[in-house]
Amino acid sequence: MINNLSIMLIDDNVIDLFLNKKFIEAHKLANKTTKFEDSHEAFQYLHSASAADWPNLILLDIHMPIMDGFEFLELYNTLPIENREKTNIIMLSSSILMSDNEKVLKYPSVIAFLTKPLNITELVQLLKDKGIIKP
Amino acid sequence: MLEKLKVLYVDDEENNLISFQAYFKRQYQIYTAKGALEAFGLLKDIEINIIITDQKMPVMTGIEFLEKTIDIYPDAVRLLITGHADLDSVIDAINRGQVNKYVQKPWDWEKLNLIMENCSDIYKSRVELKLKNTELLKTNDELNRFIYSASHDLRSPLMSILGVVQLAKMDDSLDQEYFDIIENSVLKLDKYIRNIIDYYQNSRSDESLENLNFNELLHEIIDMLKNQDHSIKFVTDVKQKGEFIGDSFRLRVILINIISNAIKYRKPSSEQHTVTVKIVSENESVNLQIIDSGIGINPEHLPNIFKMFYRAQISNNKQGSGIGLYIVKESLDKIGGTISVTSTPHVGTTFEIIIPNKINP
Repeated sequence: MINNLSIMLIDDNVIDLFLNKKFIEAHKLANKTTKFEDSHEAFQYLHSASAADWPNLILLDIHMPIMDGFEFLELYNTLPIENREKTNIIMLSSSILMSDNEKVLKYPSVIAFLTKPLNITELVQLLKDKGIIKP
Repeated sequence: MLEKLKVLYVDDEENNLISFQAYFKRQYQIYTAKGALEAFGLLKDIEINIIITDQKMPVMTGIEFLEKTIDIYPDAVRLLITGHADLDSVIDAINRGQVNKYVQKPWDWEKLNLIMENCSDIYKSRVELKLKNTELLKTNDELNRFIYSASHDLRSPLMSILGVVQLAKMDDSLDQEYFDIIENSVLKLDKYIRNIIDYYQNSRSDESLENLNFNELLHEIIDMLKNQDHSIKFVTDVKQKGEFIGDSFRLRVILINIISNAIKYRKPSSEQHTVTVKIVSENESVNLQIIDSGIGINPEHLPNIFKMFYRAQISNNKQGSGIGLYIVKESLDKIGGTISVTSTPHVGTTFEIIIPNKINP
């Protein structure tokens, strides 16, 4: 099964970026995967991209230098609503603190909080449950 | 040598000021003022530790004056000197905490000296308490930051390793045995980090109550834990009568710890290992029993298993971190639950937990 997803990965940890891209490729989950080490650059990209170039899914890390995941979400909320509507965000962090989990789920764009390492089967199931990919 | 404490004495009778200064200047740094106004001027520039005043003064009474100094130097010790029988207002002031000590005029020097020493002690212990409090806050803050970094900075590289291992396991051309060993060790270390964080979250946060469905909760936990060992037979029996209001986070922590122990401490022989969980939830409380057919616990270890870092001596690869059951006990203490254990070596162990239903206020 090939899904027509375009996925954006935002994580300051290059190893995790590499791994997550590999997992996604191995499961043929997306036909396009873009990686961003710097959340600010990711924001700049979204800011200037046309609606067609927006990803369907963003996997967002929380703890990042310069701009962390929470700050990214705040900025993200200022982007045009019609672009944001088609995009879902999943938090992917090594934090297992309840407080972090509760904090991000308050953002309407965030559909889930996953802990690292990325469990690709869990991600696929989640996307199916949310109707983002075909069951 | 310690610096002398600074003492301010306010009295409209100048003779008293002079004799007071003469008597006490060897032990204390003495400042005097003939009235409240002069005293406030002094207080603006000098941090006074003990404030003494005569009650009967023009402009404002001693009590009124002392009351106004509380905001300026909250830690200072306040002493009132009265010559008259207006005891009611003095008692009232002491009870309200505005005045710490009082002396009657005319005073006896030796008695006054004792009272002054007493005031010094009060002041010193106040300062020490404040210092200790600041230190405690700092330690607490450091602990907070440690837990935060344990949750992230320690876990982050560990999870990268786990990711690489899982990726490598997808490649059939590689020898899987090595990766299994790495994966097991990483998972073990991660469990320890998770335990530390659970303990911290338990000690910090208050109960968060919600409506619980024990059947769902139990199967979710078993689904998660059965990956540890697929050969284990799970038997569940859940009877829930009506609603149960409880803390789902703590209940989860408790069940995960006890059930993963039940899985872990199986007999080395190949006989079928069974873990049975019975839950009976009623209006008053819920009773949870976790029964395993494992190696059991030696009676001499039983009294100690809920202590922090206590490890029963078993074979090396079954060594626990010594924190799991401690967290269980701490969590139960927070939510008013109890736990008991019975065990027979080579037969198995039964944990019985009772948690009150918070539906009843």
